[in-house]
Amino acid sequence: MIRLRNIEKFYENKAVRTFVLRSVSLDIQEGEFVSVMGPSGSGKTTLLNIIGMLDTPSNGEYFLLGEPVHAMKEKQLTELHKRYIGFVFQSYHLIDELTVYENIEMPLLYQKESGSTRKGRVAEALDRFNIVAKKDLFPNQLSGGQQQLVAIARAIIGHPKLILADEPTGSLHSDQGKIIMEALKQLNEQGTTIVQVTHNEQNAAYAGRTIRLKDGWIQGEGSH
Amino acid sequence: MPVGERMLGYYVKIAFRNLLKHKGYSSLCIAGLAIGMACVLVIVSWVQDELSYDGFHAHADQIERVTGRNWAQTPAPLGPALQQFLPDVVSMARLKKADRVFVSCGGRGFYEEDVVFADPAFLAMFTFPLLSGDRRTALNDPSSMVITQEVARKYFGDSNPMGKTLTYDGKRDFRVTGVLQEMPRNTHMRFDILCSLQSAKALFGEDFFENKMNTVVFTYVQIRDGAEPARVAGQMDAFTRSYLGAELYAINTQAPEEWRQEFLLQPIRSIHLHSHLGGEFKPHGDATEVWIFSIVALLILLIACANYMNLSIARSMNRLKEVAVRKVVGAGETQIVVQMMCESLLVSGTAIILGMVLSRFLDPFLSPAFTGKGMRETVGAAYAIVPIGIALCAGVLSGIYPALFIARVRPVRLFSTSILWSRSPVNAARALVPFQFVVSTTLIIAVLVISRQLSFLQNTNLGFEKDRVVVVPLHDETIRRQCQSFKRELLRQQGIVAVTASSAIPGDVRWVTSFRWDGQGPRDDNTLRYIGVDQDFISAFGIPLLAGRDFSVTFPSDTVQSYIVNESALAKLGWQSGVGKRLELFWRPQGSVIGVVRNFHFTSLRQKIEPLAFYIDPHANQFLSIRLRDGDISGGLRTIERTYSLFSPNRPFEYFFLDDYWHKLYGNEEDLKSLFLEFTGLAVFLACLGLFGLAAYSAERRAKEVGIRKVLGASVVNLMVMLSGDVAKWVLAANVIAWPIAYFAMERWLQNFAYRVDLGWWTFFLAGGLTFCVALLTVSAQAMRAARANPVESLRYE
Repeated sequence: MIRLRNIEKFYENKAVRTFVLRSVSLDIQEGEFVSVMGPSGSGKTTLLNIIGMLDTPSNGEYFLLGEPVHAMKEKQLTELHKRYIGFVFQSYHLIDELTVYENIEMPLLYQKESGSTRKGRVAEALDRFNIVAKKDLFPNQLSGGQQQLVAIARAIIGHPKLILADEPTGSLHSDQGKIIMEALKQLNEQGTTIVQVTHNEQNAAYAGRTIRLKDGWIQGEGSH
Repeated sequence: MPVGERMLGYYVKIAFRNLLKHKGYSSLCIAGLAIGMACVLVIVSWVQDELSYDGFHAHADQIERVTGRNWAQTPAPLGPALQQFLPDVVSMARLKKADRVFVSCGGRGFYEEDVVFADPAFLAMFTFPLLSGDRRTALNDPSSMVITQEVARKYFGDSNPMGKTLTYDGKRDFRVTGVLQEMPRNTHMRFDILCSLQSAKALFGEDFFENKMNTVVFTYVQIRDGAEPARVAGQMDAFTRSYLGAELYAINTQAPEEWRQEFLLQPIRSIHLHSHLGGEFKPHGDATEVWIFSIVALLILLIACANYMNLSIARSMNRLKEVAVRKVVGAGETQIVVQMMCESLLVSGTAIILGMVLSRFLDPFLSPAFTGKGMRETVGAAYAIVPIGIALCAGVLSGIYPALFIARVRPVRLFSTSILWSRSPVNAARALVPFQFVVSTTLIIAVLVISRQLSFLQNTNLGFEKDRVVVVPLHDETIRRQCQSFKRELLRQQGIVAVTASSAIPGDVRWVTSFRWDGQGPRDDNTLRYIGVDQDFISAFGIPLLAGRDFSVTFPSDTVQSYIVNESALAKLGWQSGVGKRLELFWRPQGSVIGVVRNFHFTSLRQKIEPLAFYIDPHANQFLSIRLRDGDISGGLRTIERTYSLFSPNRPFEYFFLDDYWHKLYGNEEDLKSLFLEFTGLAVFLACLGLFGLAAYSAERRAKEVGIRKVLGASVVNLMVMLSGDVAKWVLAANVIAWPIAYFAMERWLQNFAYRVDLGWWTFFLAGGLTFCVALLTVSAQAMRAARANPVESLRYE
């Protein structure tokens, strides 16, 4: 599903290049659950952002479902991103002015889905994560775990093939974190490819494979 | 529902929630825009009104006024001659404006300023709304009269005025044959009473319709529909030749250009703004003023939009994460731009509604130039375009730049706000604040200069005594004939110090005529201003005599042969002393100068003191000036009124104080001062609003830096100075630009006055100091709040 070849990311300041990723090549198959681990500054989030098309590599090739992402224009990237990718952030990043219902519904609006489709899918997502009673509340009225569940619901509402999660339990305590990881595991079991960045070994164990980064290089891979 | 409408509803919903969530910021944005828009609306209404003059007539585009080169009025025979000469002229009407005249009905009467005599075709050519009567025939009869509703109520109360009689100046009865709706303001004419011009012979002289030289009427012609006005105007030279006759035309052609008789056509719609001829109906507007205030309106709108842009940019930096999330979940650039533009248009839409309400309330506080021209004057579908247009312009202007900036940034960068702070469009917005202060500083300097000049005009020693002087205009022929008896009776009363009769009063000496004098050269300009007076004029007004003597009853020859001149006359006539020199008004026997008075101001200080000659004129009884004893002004007034009624029992007593009259001479300057004061207040308010927003942004951006400095030992004062430092630079830059602009503008304006104040360096420093203090006060609240914030909050990892 995902193929990266010699991906490099650097920032230039006058004559100095600061590398964040160096010659990263990896393949991720459809349906996999992959964890990306590494110390702070190893390039994990940058790698995730490149896979999620939030950032562009300085060099290298990236193929998503056979499509050459590295050669696409902005509009094509937006369409591809909208169709195939859902993102979950450490800080949830819900929109404070929108209710739970409206936060979850938002991607479907941008995908121009009909009202009935939106209604059905949001109801299904609320039910799935057991947050029907919270649908009219605003994010600041929810706990951290509930907010992250809403964020996951938002990420999957468009039925993406790929979910990218950046430290999804980083702001939660362990019980809440477990609920989130179970939810992600369930999604994976239903066929969604998941790539997560995590510091937590226990969370990493939910994945089938772990990729370790250090100083922008892939240090190694391991299976669970 | 189509997808587009759905999304629009969604954007509007989000926009509302954002506004309500940040009430303080939203109120600031809307208030600033609303105030700016209110002023713009009032100005636009005024401009629309000014441009609409005489446009409401059905044949407005076909009606032209015939004028001389420098004079608006023409001889009475000219109109019919022109209609005969030019086949394209399908109708003609003349108007004769009467001087202030006493109109009465039964025992009641009033002095009327706006009585006009008109040809029968007038009401058909000019479609003033007629409530009763037939506009084709209402003025046919020489004794017919058409009056406005207000006049009808004044004389006849609620009863039907049709067929009733009003008496003109006690001389002639007119029958009411029509009633007009109130005169619209947007016309260059002014009348409350229209009498038939057929009665002119009886009232103004037998040769009224025959005299080809006296310019006594306003002449209007209606051109045939389809005829080219330019082609018709091109035939006026041929008409002039025909009208004057061959001999006179030949003389006319050889006369100096300024003396040459010339008849021109003037479209009526251009009269109000573009005609500056002598002898007009009433003072006109000025196209330059329309331009100036249109530019002012645009500037105010730009400043208000700039402010809103400043505030919305500062605010938008706090919404970067929201925009990033939206982009992550699938929003495209266009959708982000549309969302932000919806918010901007919602704010501007709310502001324009508030602005429309505010403009009604602003009316009474703006200068009389704008009073009554608020949005209530511009009712109608066409005029709704103006506020909608303003709202759209403001919304788009203010919102497009921040919307485009944020929409185009990649999501990953939107999550890294620290990168964006330094590259945000706020840096561009910062340039707007000095611009606003340039405008504010310029206006403050203008207000200071105008106020000083006005104070100078009103308080300068005029060289004569104007306090406690009551002026009684003598309109009535009866009381004029008894002027000296009236004067003697007044002087017998307690409370009256001095009385004098004259043809004009100090402040309104207009008449100029030709003189001959000792030592006159063949090419000398032989005109002098003059005023006919009685023997007591010089002493009654306390005008200092420098040489010779005053007029006196003990010298009977003073009545025929004596003149008194002022110092300017001495200089013009080339005399050292003047006393004893020969001088002659062209219609009087040769006389001599018996005295010289010190120069005093007899016209407004806009003009230099010109040469002036006084002579005794037994018929100089247009005005009686009465000096009251100090202490009981109201008692003195009652005495004058009582005495007046003995001599003119049937006419209302009218008077004015001479110092009030002088005060009103500078009415234009008073209006200008008020207007500039109001616009200055507005500009300063808007500039402070913009500065406030920028200060808020700056404080937020530097919160982390402030926190670190505090931890390292900086005091609140240190931090406030650091955060306010930019203000000093902006104000300094603004003053550097504003001072030369204000200097040239005010120097140019002061050239309108022969007597004026100096600009004075301290005016500029005062303005600069004021803007600095105001700016500092504006940012100090934000700076203090930021300086006092707990560094833990700003240094917390997010």
